[in-house]
Formats: sequence, C-alpha cells, structure tokens
Amino acid sequence: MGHMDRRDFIKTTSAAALASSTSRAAARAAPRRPALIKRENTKPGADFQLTRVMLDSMKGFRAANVEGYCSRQSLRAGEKIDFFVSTTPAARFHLEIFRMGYYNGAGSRLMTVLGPFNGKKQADPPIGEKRLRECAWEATTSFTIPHDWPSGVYLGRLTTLPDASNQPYWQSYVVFIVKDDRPADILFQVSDNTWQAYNRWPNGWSLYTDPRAAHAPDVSVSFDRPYGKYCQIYDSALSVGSGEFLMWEYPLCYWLEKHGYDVTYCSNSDVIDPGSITRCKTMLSVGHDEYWDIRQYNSVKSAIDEGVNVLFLSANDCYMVTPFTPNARGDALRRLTRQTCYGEFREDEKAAYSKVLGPFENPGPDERDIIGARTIVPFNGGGDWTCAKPDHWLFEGTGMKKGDSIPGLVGWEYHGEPDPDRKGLEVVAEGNVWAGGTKLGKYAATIYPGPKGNFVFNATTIWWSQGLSDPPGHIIPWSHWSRPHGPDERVQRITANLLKRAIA
Amino acid sequence: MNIIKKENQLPGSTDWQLTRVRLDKNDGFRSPGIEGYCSRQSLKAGEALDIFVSTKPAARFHIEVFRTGYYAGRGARLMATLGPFDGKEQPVPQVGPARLRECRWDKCVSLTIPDNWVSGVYVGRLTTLPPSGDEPYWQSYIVFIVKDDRKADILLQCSDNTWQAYNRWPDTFSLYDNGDPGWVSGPDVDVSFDRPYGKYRQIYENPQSVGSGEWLCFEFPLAYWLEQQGYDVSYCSNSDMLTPDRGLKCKAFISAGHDEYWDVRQYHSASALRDAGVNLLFLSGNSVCWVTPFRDSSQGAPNRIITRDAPYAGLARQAQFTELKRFAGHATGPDEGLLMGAINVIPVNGGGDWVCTKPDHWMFEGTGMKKGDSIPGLIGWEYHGDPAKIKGLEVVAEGTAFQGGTHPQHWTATIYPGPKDNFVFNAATIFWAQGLGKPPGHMIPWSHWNRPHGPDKRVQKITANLLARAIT
Repeated sequence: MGHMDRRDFIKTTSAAALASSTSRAAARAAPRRPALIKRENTKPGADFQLTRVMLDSMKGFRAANVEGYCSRQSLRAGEKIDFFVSTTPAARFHLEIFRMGYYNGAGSRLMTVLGPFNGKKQADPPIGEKRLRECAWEATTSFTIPHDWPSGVYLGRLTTLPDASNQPYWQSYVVFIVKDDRPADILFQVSDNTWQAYNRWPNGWSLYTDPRAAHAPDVSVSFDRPYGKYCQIYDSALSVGSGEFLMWEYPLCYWLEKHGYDVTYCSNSDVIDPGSITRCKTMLSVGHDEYWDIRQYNSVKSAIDEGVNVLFLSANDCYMVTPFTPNARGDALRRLTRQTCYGEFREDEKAAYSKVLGPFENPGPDERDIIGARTIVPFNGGGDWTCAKPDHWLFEGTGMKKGDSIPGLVGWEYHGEPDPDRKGLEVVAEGNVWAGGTKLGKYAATIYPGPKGNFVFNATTIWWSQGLSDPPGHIIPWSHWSRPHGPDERVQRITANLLKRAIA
Repeated sequence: MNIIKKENQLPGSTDWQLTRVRLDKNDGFRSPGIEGYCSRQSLKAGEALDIFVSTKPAARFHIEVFRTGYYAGRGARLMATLGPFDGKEQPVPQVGPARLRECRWDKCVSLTIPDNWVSGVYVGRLTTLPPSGDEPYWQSYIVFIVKDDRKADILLQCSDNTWQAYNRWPDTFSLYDNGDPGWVSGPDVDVSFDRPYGKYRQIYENPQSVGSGEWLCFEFPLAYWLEQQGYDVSYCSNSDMLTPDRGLKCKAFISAGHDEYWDVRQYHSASALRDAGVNLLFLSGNSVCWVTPFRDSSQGAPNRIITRDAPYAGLARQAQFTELKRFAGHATGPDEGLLMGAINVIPVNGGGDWVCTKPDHWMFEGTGMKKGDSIPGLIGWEYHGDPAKIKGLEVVAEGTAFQGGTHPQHWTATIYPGPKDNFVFNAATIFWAQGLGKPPGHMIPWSHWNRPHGPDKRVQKITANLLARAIT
C-alpha cells in the first residue's frame, strides 16, 4: 500500500463500499432516459469561448485578474457546489454557466448567469507537505444544481465587469461535472485526475515539478485551486480554468451529443464506486487518462468482469497510482498523491529514465490487465495510425485496407507491448511512433473479449477524439514534430462501429 | 454555373495537411529536412513554374500539388503528384547587400500549369520518401497562385508581400531584422521571394505555415467561405496589382488578412479601380502601411525583391513613433486613409471586440445587430485607427483595442462611396476572415491576451451583404 497506512486504507475502502451501495440503490430507482441527450441538444446553443485571457506573465499559467475553482469535481442535480473566485485587483465580475454538448453546432447552452459579485484578491496558499498548494478561499457563492440540468460537463465563464469600455475585461473558466444515477448506454469518464496532475497553478506546482525528479513519488496536488493554462505541447488559451477538457475530451463529447448517443458523465473520482460504471453498457476513458486511484482500477476491472464494454479512447492510461485523500476541510477525494506506478517498469526503462521516473516501490497491478497494452518507454511522440486487421468488424464500412494509415493520429502518448497472455486479444492497428520526434517506438491498438460477450478496446492515442470533430474554438495540437489532422471519416466510423456493438 | 462552383464539385482530398514538420531547432523557423520555393508568386495556366527543393540529408521526395478551396468541406483538391525526385542539400545563400538572402538553387522540376487548373491558391506538399517505414518522413509546403484574365465578380488579392516581409528564413532575415536585437521597422533591409517560407513568426505557433506563408493563417478561411458560397472569385498576388488591368475586369477587389506591404504602384492601381467603379473591400488590418518597391532578382526575374522604403502618409503623421525617424529623407507614400477610409496607427498590436455603431446601415441587414452589439475578439491582432476625411464616409463600427493587451487605442471600421455608385469598406482587422470559415486544420489565433472565436453568423452576413451589393 506504499504510503497510505493500513488504517486509512480500511477507512477509505469502507467509505467507498458505502457510497457504492447507495449509488446502486439510486441506480435501481433512477429511470432510463434514452432521449435525454437528444432532447437537450434541441435547445438553443450559445457561445462559451473566452475572448480576453491574460496570464501573469508571457510564460505564466495563472490568470490572476480573475480565476476560480469549485468545491467538487462532480455533483448531482439537487446538490450544492461552492464557487471560489479571486480577482487581482479587486473587480466586479459575473459567472455564466454553460453545459457543453453539440446544440446544433454552437457547442454549448447557457444555463444561468450568477452575479454580479464584488470580487477581491484571495490568498495564494502556502507550500504545504509534499509540495501541496491548496487554497482555502472564501466562497463567492453557493449554488444548488437545478433538477432539470442534465448530466454533462459544465464550464463557468468568469468575466470581470469594468466600469468603462476603455478598460479591458478579463476572463477564465471554472469547470465541474453534473453526474446522475440513470442507467445510460455510455459512461463518459472525464480524466480530471490528469488535468490536476499537470496543473502548475500558481506556477510550478504540478505532479511534475519536484526538483528530485519529474515523476518523483510523494508529491501531492489539490483540486482546491484554479486550473492554470495547460502546460504541455501547445498554447491553448481556452484551457485556462477548464483543465484539459476542451483539448482532449470535448471533441468526443461534441460528436457523441451530435449523434444523440445516450451518454452520462462522471469524474475520475466517481469511478471509485463500481456501481457508477455497471449501470451503463459501456465506459469511455477519454484523452489523457494517466492518474488512477487503485480503487478506480479495481472498479474498472470488476466492471469488465461483469460485462461492461470499455473503450480506451485515450492513452498513457492507468500509468501512475494516485490515491485520493481529503482536503484540509475534510472534503473527500480532493487531493492526489503520486505513490507508485502501475505494473513493473522494465529494466531498460528504469535505466533510460532513471532521472525522470520514481524510484517506485511496490508497483500497482499491471495496467495491461485492463487495457490490453501498456505505456511504453520512451514516451512522447507521434505517428500514423495504421490498420493491421482490416477484416475486423470495427473497420466495417471504413474502406481501410491493411497498411492504410490515418496521418498523425497517434500521439502525443500511446500504448505498446500488447499483453501476450490475454486470450483473444487482437492487434487491430500497429506501427511506428517517433518518440521526441525521431526515436523509433512501436504502438499497438488492441481489442480483447470480456467474459460476457463484452469487449475492451484500446485506441492507443490521446488524440483519438481529434479525429471525431472540430468544435467551436478548438485547435489541433502539434507536438514532437507530428500532428493529427482533425475530423476523419474513418475515425468516426470506427468509433460508431465500436459503440454500436457496445450499446446493443 | 460559374467556374468556382463547378470546380468545387470535384472531389476534395482527405489528406492535404502537413503531418510531420520538423524545424531545425525548437524555436527555429526553417525545416531543412525538406524545404522549397517557387520561381514566381503567381502565373497563368500554360505558363511554367520552376520548383526548387533542398533536402538535408539528401532524400527522395515527391510533391503533391493541391488547389485550396472548399470542396464539400475538405478544403483542397489533389491536382497532381510530381516525382519522386532525388533530393539533395542546396546551399544557404550568403548574406547579401541590405541583408538579402536570395537562394539560387538548382531547379528540381518545371511545372507547366495545365489549362484546366482554375485560378486559386495552390500548395505543394513536399514529402520525403524514406526507404523504410522505420524512418520518419518529413514535410513542408511550397505555395503559388494561379491567376487568370477572366471577367470575375471578385478578385482576391493574396497578401504575399507581407508573408515575405515576416519570413525569417533561414533564421533572422525578415524585414524586421536589421542585425539589431528585437523588432526593427527600418529602411535598408531587403527580402527575396527566392527562398522558402519559414514558420510564421508571430503571435502563435502554426505548423501549417511552414512553406505556405500566412495563407493558411489569415486568408484561407475567407477563400474557403467564398468558395463554399459559390462566389465567382479569381486570385492574384500583391505583385499582380502593379497595374489596375486585372482588377478592372472584376466587380470587387478584396485585400485579405494582413496586407501591410505595398509597392506604391499597387496603391495607384487600387485607387484607379475605385475611380473606375470597382468596389474595394479591405477585409484586413494594418493594410497599406509601408511603401515597399519591387525589384528584379539578381537573375533578372521581375518583382522578386522588396525593401521597406517609407511609411504611407497616414502612418507617417504619427510623429510620436520614434522609429519613423529612421526614414528621414525618404518621401512618404500617399495617404492610405484616402484609399481605405482609415489610417494606420503605430504601435499596433492587440485586440478588442468589433462593436457595431451604425446598425441601420444596409451592411447590417439581417444580422440582428443593435448599436453597441459586439463580436468578441474580432479586432486584432492589428487594426486601423482614425477615419479619413472623405465625403460620405461612415464609421460603421468602432471601439477600443487594447494595444499590447492593456493599452487602450481607438479603431474604426468604415465605408465610403466611390464615384460610380461603388463603395470602399474597411473592416479594420486582420482577423475578419476568422469569422467566416474554419477550414480543416485551421488554428484560431491568440495574441496580446485576445482571441477571436471563429465563424460567426454576423460576420458572414455582413460580408455577404457587402458582396451582394458589390457584385450586382
């Protein structure tokens, strides 16, 4: 158990067991609402984008003019969320809340406007144990989610309201997830642990900034702080306050809601309860889904055993064991600590990456046991996604032949070394990837059968959703001298084929 | 059916973007793995274009030539694949007088433009062909314009002088580099079209700009939208505007994106078009700012070198800008305000919302815009300042741009009548095209803490209203 002592472990697991039984009871009570998302998307859309975003310096991450965070990663309708906002200097501001979806192409719906509020500067938190930066701001407002707000990812757009038009206004986002208990076809798990792991707010305080090593264990991050600008591969203005949602997850959300899929959303932290998964026919891991509490792993594994289909439309998944702990106020699941890795690193990986990795003791279980493949070292790069098994049903209607490629779709992280002992595992796409732009590696996209006629698919790329849609404001990434091209009819068709079988 | 509608019915390409683009270093501009340039900015069908390519190390490669347009949303059509060729490393030219870097590479191939290639902006995608799939391939673009002489409704002028002015290839050799650190806007610096376009050097990282100038950044969203709507549009280079002849066969002339650098003959041509009744649409910002005479290349090819000679008169009036002192003794150009409707301001870099001030004007018909309604972030990252004193001129939108992100500055969008019931519109922003289309691979810019949002029905409707009147 590494650094969580046994007493804490028993406490957290029994709490999870309790949560699990309540949500299972709720799921029994919650009716299916297969037309909910379709109907929601017929409502009028709105423009959710940021216009004026100012960082504290050209190379900065935080938007000190106006920035905020939420008291919870996710909550249900009828529950209460607190918003914490700081403005430097003190400024009036309001908060517009948008639900993210398709909405006839607009991409979001304006749900409500809160405020105006009189903002003030709130304190930067001291550096705590394990490099923790945890804010304890005064709540700006407390808001109860109305009963008619469907499950989804919600962005709050903070905008300062200057006295005159010759003074600039400033903006950033807050982000939260509205979840529900309804049995739905698709569970869309947002990779918010990874968003927080890479969050450097206020400047150098991510899970990667310990001077000992980029992946040093015993470093903690808190959800009680704003999301700074995304710190890797490219500059995304819209990431300020919204984690990585708009970059890696939103193109999938936009596409699913466009096509009227029956989808419900949750946070990584919700998957601690296996019942949150088993109420749905299929679960999606999306984008960059690197950081998992071991209880998430156990939930996903048991859901597969119970017949849920899992689609890893993502990469670098389940790479690091990051137990959740409560924040200083005692709110559950508000801190993450890098504890160890999933699966044992290979000796050559340890040697090549001794300055970056660990050292990690007592690694968690092998991530291949759920994904079918693993994060290979060296990581970071890109390649073309090349069909290896064109006769597989997932390629139906794509016209793809063996060796046909989707340019640049693999990146900027990926999986390889498919599990040789996994019965029935098929490599459906494989090829070369260039780590750092030039160093050769081999990726593999896989599918394997679960025990109840279900399946587990591994797309092997963070960028899968780039091939699905190009929502308003979206920009395509470029990293390690490689880039995907955006929407591709073949990626759309493969995804539709997978979902068709998964929700049948 | 017009020629553009017909052309756009042909099948588009699903793979014309760059996938693997590698610069010589992380903050570099050139892509020595494979890079190239063309012998001419523009040419007509039936004429020959020489293409020059260098590969380092020597590598086999091919060239796929695409016409950019709409094509049912795909954005480009594959016209021809040239090669494969055996590439070789070609020399980086010495620094010449006035810091000129002019390549004289061995030609790779000469392409005679087929008669059925429609006027348009063409990109050639250079791709290395490694002997094994275990070696990475590398790509970049070349760019050229196919022009014609047909009577067309719209003439879209590419701002290729500006692309070249900002081109630092191989590293620090743009019109803004005189050897001193930082950005310098001075005389006595020359740039040549005989060299590859390096990566666009300002405001954001756009991998697709490597070899394609600023076409894909600031102009293509306009062309994509025009061709989607089926407008009868023909294309030309800045250098095709040295006489008014081409434009006189068209009903509307469009300056697009960032159109800063004009030979004074371009100014006189555009004025002549207006006086002859052609409508002018400056869907651009920072336009007609600097006088940049064309010169022949060292091998005698016309219009292949530009130099910054002087400011245009509106800019020159901003005496507080000390850099203008560098031009003491240079005759300023004519007043750009009298051509566009508003003058340049300096320093100019920032952004703001595009705010309607004259909602009853016909150009706002059907937009639903009221006085004070704004289009977020559409102004930037350069714009136009005060309106000129022209009879009948109307300010249709104006507001505050925040120069450098925070310093308030006044901008104005204007329209004024020409002598023959025609008009001249000034949108006052480089970003206008961002509100029209979002072609495949397009990146919305972010600069000076401001960003436009991409396609906006109001920008589309205003543009359609302007064009409806311009081409009737």
